[in-house]
Amino acid sequence: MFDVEPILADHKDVIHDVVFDYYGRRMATCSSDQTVKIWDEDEHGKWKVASSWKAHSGSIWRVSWAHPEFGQVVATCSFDRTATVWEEVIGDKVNTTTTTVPPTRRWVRRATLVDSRTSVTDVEFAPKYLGLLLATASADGIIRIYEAPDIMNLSQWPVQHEIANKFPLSCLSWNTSTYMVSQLLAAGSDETATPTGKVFLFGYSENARKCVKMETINDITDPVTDVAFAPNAGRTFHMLAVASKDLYIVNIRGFTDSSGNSKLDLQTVKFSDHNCPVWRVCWNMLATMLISTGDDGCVRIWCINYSRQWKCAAVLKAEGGGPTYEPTLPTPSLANTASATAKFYKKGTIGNQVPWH
Amino acid sequence: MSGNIHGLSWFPNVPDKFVSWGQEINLYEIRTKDDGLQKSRLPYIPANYLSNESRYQYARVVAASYHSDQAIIAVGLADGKIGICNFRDTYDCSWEYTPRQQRLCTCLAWNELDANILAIGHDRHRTDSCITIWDIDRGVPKDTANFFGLTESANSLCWDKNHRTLIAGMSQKMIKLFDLRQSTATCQSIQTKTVQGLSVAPNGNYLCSYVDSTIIVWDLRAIDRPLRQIQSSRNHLQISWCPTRTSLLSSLQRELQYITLYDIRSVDMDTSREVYHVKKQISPFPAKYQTAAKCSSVNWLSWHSRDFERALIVADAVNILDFRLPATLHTAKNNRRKLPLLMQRPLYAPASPSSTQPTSSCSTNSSLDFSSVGSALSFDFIQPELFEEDLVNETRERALQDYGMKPDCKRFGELHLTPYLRNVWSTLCNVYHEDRLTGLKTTLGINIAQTSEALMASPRIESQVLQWPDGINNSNKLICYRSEQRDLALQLCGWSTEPELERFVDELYGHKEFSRAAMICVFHLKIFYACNILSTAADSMRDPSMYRITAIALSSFNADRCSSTWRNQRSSANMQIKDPHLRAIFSFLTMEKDNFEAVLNEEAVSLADRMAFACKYLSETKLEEYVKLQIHKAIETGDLNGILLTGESLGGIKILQAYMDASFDVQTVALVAINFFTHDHFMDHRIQYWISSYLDCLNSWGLWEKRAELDIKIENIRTSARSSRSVYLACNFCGKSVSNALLDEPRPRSTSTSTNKLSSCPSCRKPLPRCSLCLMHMGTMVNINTGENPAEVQAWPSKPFSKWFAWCQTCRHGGHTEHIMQWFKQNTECPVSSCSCRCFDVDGIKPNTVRDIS
Repeated sequence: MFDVEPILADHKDVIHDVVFDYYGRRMATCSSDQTVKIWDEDEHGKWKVASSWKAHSGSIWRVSWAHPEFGQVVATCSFDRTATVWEEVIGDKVNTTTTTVPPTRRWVRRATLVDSRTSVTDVEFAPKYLGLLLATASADGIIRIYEAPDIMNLSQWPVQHEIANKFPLSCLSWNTSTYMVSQLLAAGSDETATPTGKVFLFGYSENARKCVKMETINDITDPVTDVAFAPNAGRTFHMLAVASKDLYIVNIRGFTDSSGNSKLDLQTVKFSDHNCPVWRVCWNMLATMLISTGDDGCVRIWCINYSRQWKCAAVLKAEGGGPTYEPTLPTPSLANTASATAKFYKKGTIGNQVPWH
Repeated sequence: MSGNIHGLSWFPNVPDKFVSWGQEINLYEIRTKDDGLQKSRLPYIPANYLSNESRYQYARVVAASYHSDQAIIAVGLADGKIGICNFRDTYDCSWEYTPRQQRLCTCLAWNELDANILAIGHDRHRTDSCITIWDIDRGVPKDTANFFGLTESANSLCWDKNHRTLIAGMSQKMIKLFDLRQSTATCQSIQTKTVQGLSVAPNGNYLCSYVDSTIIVWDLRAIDRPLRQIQSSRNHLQISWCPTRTSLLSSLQRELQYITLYDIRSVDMDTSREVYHVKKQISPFPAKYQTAAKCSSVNWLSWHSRDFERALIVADAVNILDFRLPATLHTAKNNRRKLPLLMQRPLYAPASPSSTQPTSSCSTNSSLDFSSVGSALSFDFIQPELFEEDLVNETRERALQDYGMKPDCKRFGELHLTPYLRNVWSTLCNVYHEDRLTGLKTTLGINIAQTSEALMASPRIESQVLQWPDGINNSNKLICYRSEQRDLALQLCGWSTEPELERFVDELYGHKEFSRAAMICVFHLKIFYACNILSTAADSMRDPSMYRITAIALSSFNADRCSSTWRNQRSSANMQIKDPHLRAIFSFLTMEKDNFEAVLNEEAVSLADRMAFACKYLSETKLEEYVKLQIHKAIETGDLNGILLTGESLGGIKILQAYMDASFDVQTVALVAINFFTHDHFMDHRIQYWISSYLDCLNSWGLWEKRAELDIKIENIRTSARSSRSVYLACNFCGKSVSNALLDEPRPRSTSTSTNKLSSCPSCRKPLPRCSLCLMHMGTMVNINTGENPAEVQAWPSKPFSKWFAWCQTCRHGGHTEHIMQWFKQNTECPVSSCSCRCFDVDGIKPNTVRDIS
């Protein structure tokens, strides 16, 4: 059966991203309070903050883990126009006498990527088979793909590709699988003014020897805040979840047309169950479950049913939110019972201002 | 109800009261739980109606004052008259002000510092000023110092939080700041079109103003240029800052069901300050409201001055709703069983028990525990059945139970497998014959390339007219086909040949597959035997009726006499008989001549049984057709049973792919491939991809041992392509292999010499590396703590991992694994004296995960 594990994040401001490492035993969070926190799971399954540091001078939008083969490496991006690569190192202070104290670990800045002239809105490490690659999206519409040619030296990140777009970008996602398609990278734009397609698919073109835009998903014209490729263990089709005004799932099928060019066949399904714009989307590891978070903080869990339709299976809400009062029924005969069952609890008050920010 | 509500407002210093205006002006009080029996006058909020103000109807603007002792409002009317009302006193003309020229009152603003001061804004008149400051204690304003803006119009007004500065949006083109601290007011003006509404942030530093769809944020300390302009797609209706947060600006937009929230932030760059915002749109309606009203919209919003992120809203111009900003939950993709939910803060304001509650009547629901955040989450299962099978969890459990490691049907009893998969595995095990998954299609010699005539001409097929047993009198002649291939196919389907039939049926009976046993008996025309089986089965069943009735029906079956009646019954009976095998029995007994469709298309009977039946009774052409149809169907639906027909072939891979596309179950697909697709197609890129995906899953769960076992199994399949060995021990100096020398030393030696046999490279005689702890050379045996018998030690392959050499990949020091492990239990640094490498911490293995390796 389905179970959740609440974790209380002690960030002082809005959290923007939560990411787990490859093994699911470490967690990174980032927030508008300009800090990154790394969490470890203790023996009892409780999450503890292992490291916390001020990483940027603006809101940190996203964080991403590299594959553990490259060490304990995360990348962050921020409104302060930079993306930064961090690595965990063992503290210098050596305590040889006792081993009961675990070695001190800290995160050091290995590289700051300063190419963007505007806010860097998303950062994501590429799937492992591509090597140590990092893609960033920025508000001026440029996707940059950096590569560390020497994985032992994380201070060198030359730009490999630079793809310029007309629209400001808000998010990107690598396709982790190349089963039956070429390498794909999806990016979304949160531009509001023009009613054109807001999700773009990029691929590497062997002929042009560079990354090119392969497809624009024209069905999605509302501003997009998040995109996520489903992990694909070997399905013939790939799935991309898009968080926009509504939730979309795009099925992507690769095929080769008559002239031998590889093309993509797109199929977009829209889900309007969220009564507000969707903010974040993520998949579980076998892509049997899609989890979407709305602007209102409500989490919806989507499962595929027997006829291969995605259905909203559960809604999770933090009850601190909505009003606890039940509306009274309009029929007068029921008035008495209705107000008897009506509940209104005062949960306590807050002394004036909460000093966030 | 009191007609439409245009707006409402909390009293900033009287926390539980609010006023709503529209056709009437009403005062309400939020009620506490005590007086809950009285029906609320407002349907969506528990509030007591206190009083109303009947003098002023159709108020243009209403403002609630900052007085803390009583609820006072100022009302501005369309004719320019301003009334002050405290809902208590009767009519009093001194609390009314009429401007010299009659025109629309546009805006009102109370001063927060001096609660008696009210700023009034009017429309333009060429001989009158548009802004009036009125100290309500001192009577109607007459002094010229109280009037500003001659021949201008006031669009909006608000007071600075800290000073006595009045901010006014005027004449659609500028914002003016009047500093009233001196007797002669100084005035600063900024040209901007955004004058429709003004609001000062709770920290007093930021001002925002809007016009149409544009919001501009200003810094009051440096107001000459805007900090940021926010453009939206719709026109704004009302903007206000949330008083319990420092930087949250809310906006209502015309005919929109959302409240738009702008979280406004700033970052200091090298030279400048940059302001940005995060936008969110939230629908404030509870689910019940949304279903009641089709297209709802938010008309007005008033933030509570103290309660955290709480507001009242007017929806659809009639309903008042209480609203709190919901807490956002965060979650992320991971491989865990539980869904992690990250929360910004404890879900309820952390009201410590010791702190004095402002009202004694406030109560907490007993089920809500403040200490545990989990209890405050609400789950709403819409389709709980979708959670019954969690593939991720199942995959993990099955991996832990060695699913698919040994393709032995009996072992599956212990596994958590769905009946479907259990059936598939046992079917495939049956077909797996002579180390090959051949598939019935090949076994039966059905090939698309061959013409069916050629097959028909094949002399090996014998046909035979079967005799129905006595008493059944079926005039339908059954033709049964036999050939070598068909016999083999029957066997592969799990059926036994005629002579051993009884034993086979008894076996099924033993497995409690009563109806299937009966069905197979009937297919072999042993109807009375089937009767026996069913009647004995009925005795042992809890609900015997179905078996009993079938038994009776079979025992008295007389085909010629009753088949037409049966046939009529069958269509309806088929709907009601739940057991597919019993259905198949009746279909078989009542079939028309040579028409086996009903049996062959009985999807609930396993494909193996149907195939066996087909092999027995179908002519060659029909059989070929049937097999092709079934393969086609299996590829279409992703039915793994179809592999029975295709065997290890491209068709089989297609079936696996279809199953993968339908179920996402990479584990089963990979394991079927590893177990059965081991010959020509093992290197197919699809199979290799599934296997590597599955290995990656195991890796991510940290199930190294399971992965290694699977790797070994895979390696064994690749025997043909396997190179003899991929890891060598090579001498550091000459580069020649050391391990070969170790193995190629078959000469019997005494134990003492063999343990020390290699201290140097056999080819260049340079010394071999030594264990940094015991200082013995590599290749020597470790014989501490082990009272071993020499035979075991000398057997090279059985050497356990703990006796092997291991190196730190950073400092290149190493030794016997056992020694190294012992060393690092007590030390953190490398055992080599001058080396300060912390070899063990480099991997990030936590101490509690370090186990003894035996």
